[in-house]
Amino acid sequence: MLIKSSSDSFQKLLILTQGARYDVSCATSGVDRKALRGKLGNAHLPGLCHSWSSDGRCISLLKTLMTNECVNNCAYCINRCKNDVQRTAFVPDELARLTYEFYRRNFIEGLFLSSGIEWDADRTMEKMVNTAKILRERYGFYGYIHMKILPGASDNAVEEAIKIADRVSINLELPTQESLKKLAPQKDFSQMLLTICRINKIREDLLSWSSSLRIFGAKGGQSTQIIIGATPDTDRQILTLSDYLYSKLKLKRVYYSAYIPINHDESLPPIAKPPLVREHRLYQADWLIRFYGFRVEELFEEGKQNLSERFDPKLVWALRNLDFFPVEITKASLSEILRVPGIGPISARRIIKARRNGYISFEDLEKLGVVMKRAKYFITIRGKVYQGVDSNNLSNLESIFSGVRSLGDERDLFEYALG
Amino acid sequence: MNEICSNTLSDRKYSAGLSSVPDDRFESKDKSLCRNNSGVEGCAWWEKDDFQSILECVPIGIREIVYYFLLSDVKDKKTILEEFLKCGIDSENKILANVHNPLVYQIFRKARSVRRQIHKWKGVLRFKEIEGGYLYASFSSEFDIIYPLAKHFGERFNTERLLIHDLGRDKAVYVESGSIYHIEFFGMIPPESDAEKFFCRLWKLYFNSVSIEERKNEGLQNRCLPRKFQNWLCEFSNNELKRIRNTAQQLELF
Repeated sequence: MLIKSSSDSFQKLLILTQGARYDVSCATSGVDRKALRGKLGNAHLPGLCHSWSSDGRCISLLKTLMTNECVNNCAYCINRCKNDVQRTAFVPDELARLTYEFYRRNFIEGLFLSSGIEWDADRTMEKMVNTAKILRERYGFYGYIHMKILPGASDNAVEEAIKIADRVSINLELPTQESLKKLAPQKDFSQMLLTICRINKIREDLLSWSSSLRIFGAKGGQSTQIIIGATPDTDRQILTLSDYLYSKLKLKRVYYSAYIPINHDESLPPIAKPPLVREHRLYQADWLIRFYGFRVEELFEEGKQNLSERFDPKLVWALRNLDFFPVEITKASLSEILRVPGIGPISARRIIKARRNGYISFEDLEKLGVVMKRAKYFITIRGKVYQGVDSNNLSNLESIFSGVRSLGDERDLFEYALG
Repeated sequence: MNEICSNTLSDRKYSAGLSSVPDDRFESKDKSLCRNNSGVEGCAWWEKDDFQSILECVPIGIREIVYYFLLSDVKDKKTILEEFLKCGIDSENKILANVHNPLVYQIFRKARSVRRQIHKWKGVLRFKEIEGGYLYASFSSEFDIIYPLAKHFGERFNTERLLIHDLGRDKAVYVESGSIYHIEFFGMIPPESDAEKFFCRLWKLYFNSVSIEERKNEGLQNRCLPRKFQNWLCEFSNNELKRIRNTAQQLELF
C-alpha cells in the first residue's frame, strides 16, 4: 500500500484539499466518452454531482493541489509564499491511487488537479501530468480529469497536459491588468490571455493531427475563474471580459468567486462577508449572455456600472423595457420568448414544440415548466392576458416583485444547470 | 458490521445460510438478463428487459418516456398506458402539445421524475468493497430503477464485479463485464474489506475540508440533496463526523 501511515495521509489530504477549495470549477459535463472494455470509467455528457458540501456547492471531482508550496505571493491566496502555513505535497503514485479508490466507490467523477508553483511552473506541471499518466495508464482510468495550467508553463508542458486531460484551465483571477498587478505582482494579465490563446492553438493542432489524442485532448475545452469584490472592478468590466472570453477565446465557462478574506494585507479591501449576492447576479448575467441571447450592454442601464442586487438582471431588463411586452406566446420567436421573465431555454423550446402540434393555454404553460408567478405579467395568448393581470397598468410591477424576493423564483435562470 | 453501513443493512434479514465462498452467496436466477453488446444489435438498452413486449407496441418516438413511466410507482400503469396509447400520440412534441390531457401530463411528469431520480442515484449510489473483491451498493427508491442503474455502472465499472441491491424491493443484480444477472441473496452480505474503512474515512475528511465556512448554506445543501438521499451516504453520518473531527483535532488541524 502506497499510503503508509493513516495520520500522514489524513493530514496531507486535509491541507491540500483545503488549499484547493477556493477554486469554484466543478463541472464534469460536456464530455461524452463511452466506456471501453477493460478500462475503468467513462465521461457522462450531462455531468454528475456526487455530493453537496455544507456550503451548498456540489462535489463532483476530487479537487486538490499537487503541492501547496508556492513561489508566488498573491495577496488573496491562502498558499502565497509569505504565509506561514504547513507545506506538503502529494507523490503522484499516492494521488493516483487515491483517485482510483474514490472513483470505484462512486464518490467522484474524476480528478481536479491544481497546484502551487514549486520551483517553476514546468517542474510542477510535470508532476501533475505524471499523476494523470499513472491514472490513465496503470489504472486504466477513463474518467474525468481537469488539469490546471500554471502561469508560466511552456508549450511543451501545456501540450502534455492537454493530451491527458478532459478540461484545462488557467485562472485569470482578476478582471483587469491593474488589479492583477496590484494583488498578484508576479502574474501578468496579458501573458495569461496569451496563454489561453496558446492553449486553444495547441489543442486544435493536436486534435487535427493525431488520432491517438482523440480519446482525451481536453475536449471539454477551457474554463477560468475571476475573483469578485477584492478589487474595485465593476460588473460591467467583468462581464465584458467574460463575453470576450466566450466569443473570441472560445472558453466554455467563466467562474465567479466571491472574495473571501483569508489574508490580512493592506492591498485588500476590508470586508466582513463575501459578496455572495453579487456573485449570484453575475452568474445570472453570464447565463443570459450564453443561453438567452442577451448582449452585455443590454444588462446595464445607461451609465450604470453594476448589476442590481435587488432584482435579477432579466427582470431588471424587462422592467426597463416594458414596451417590448407583452409577448404573444402563440406567435413570438424563440428569442422573444426567451426575454420573458419566468421562461427559460428549456420551457421556451417546449412551448415552440407544443404550439406547433396543438392548441396552447395558460394552464399548459405551467405544466411545460414556466414560472407563471413571474411570466404572467409579460405574456398574452391569442391576444388575451392572464386572468387578473391589468396589462394597462404595469407601472407598479416593481413593487409587486419587491414582495417576491425568493431566489427560488428565479429558477428559470438556472434551468440549464439543473437540467 | 461497522457504523458506515449499519444504517443501510441493520434492519434487513440476512441471517441464515452463511456460506464461506463469496461466489456461493448469491445465485443466478435468470441466466443473463441483459447481454451488453454496446449497441451492436442496434437496439436501445431499455428495450431489453422486463418491458420488452409492452414497449414493442409503443411508437418509437415515445418509447423512452413510456419506459421511464413504467418504472414509476403509479398504480395500474398498464391500464393507464393502454388508454394513453389510444390517443394516437407518437412523438415527444405531441406529448408537449397535449399536456392539458391529464393522462398525458401524468405520463410526462412521472417519466421526468423517474429520469431525474435515476440521474441522482447515478451520482450518489455508493459502492463498498466487500470481501471477495466485489463492489456492493444498496439503495431504495419509490421507483424500480435498478436496471438503468446497473446499465450505467456496468459500463462505467466494467473492470469490476458489482452487486447492486434494491433493499426496498429486495431485488438484486450482479453485473460483470457488461452483463447483468438477476440474483438472490441467501445469507449475509460479506463484510467490508479493511481498505474500505480507510478510504471511507478519507472521503469524509475530504467532504468536510472542501466546505467553506464563510459560505455556509445548509438550506441549499438540503435542497440539492434531500434527506432521503443523505441517509444513504457515509459522509452524512454524524458519529463518523465526530470521529473525523477528533482525529483532525489530534492533528491540530482545526
